[in-house]
Amino acid sequence: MFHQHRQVSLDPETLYLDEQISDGQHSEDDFLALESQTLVRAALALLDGPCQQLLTQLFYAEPRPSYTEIASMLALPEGSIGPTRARCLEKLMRILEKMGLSEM
Amino acid sequence: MPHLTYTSLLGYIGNELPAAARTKIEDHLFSDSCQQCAGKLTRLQKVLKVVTEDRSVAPPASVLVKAFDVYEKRPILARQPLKQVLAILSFDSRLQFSPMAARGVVHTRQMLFTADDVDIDLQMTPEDGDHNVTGQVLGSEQAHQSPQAFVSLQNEAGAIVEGTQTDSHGQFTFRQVPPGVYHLVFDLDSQQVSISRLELIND
Repeated sequence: MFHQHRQVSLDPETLYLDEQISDGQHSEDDFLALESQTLVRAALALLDGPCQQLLTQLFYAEPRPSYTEIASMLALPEGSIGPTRARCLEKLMRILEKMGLSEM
Repeated sequence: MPHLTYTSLLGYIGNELPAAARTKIEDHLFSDSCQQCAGKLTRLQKVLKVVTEDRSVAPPASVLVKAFDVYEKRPILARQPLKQVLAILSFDSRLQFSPMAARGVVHTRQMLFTADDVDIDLQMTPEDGDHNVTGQVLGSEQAHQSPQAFVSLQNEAGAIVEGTQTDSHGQFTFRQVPPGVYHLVFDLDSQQVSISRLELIND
């Protein structure tokens, strides 16, 4: 479960969820984007461990680590990160195709 | 040229390929008009855009626990089906012997109806050929305040003739109601109580 960065008031006296969440307007595009993000994250969870760790570090870690830091973290030669990233993305795309990526 | 792999398309998007390889890919995509590879390119661009723009984070466990707690305690907005109750007559002054009524001193007819959770006290006073109907909805002794109800006076066919809201004491009034047969329906929060076939007749 994920949520966007935003101010959330968690007043225990307030029972309504929608009162606790920012009242910013959400467009249909926001929901479509959220749906796509959820689909990609679900596909990522189906990748093998090393690919999952690498793509998570490359795309989702905050703050974004450098290639040197990722190489150190995942015990990989720094020069192999580029090709490994391509292979892992290839796997991710194949998983997404099976999950119905064309409808994204 | 064989179809393009995501890896080669990734190199193409990232501008990481030598010029010759790049030209080959563009020829295949645009000169050969390979729909299959064009679709792959579009999908890859979409996914890269999604992961680039996705700045969501997993919430701390404490926030998740709180969110579930709030969800479970949410008010249920869907109303339960209204229970319909027919009030039963438990007292009618006309059925009691009263010397004052016999002498014509008292014209007001008093009735008491009982339903599941409420009693309804009714008083009908004739006035110039019509009737003033006043009443009070009485809750159980445990209730700290009088039940609030919308009271509708309906004709014999069930059409609403008049409607009113009870006041803070549960009282209501319908003035100058022509003689006839009526139903009184009380819409309370949890139930609908009816007094059926109330006869307003002139002596």
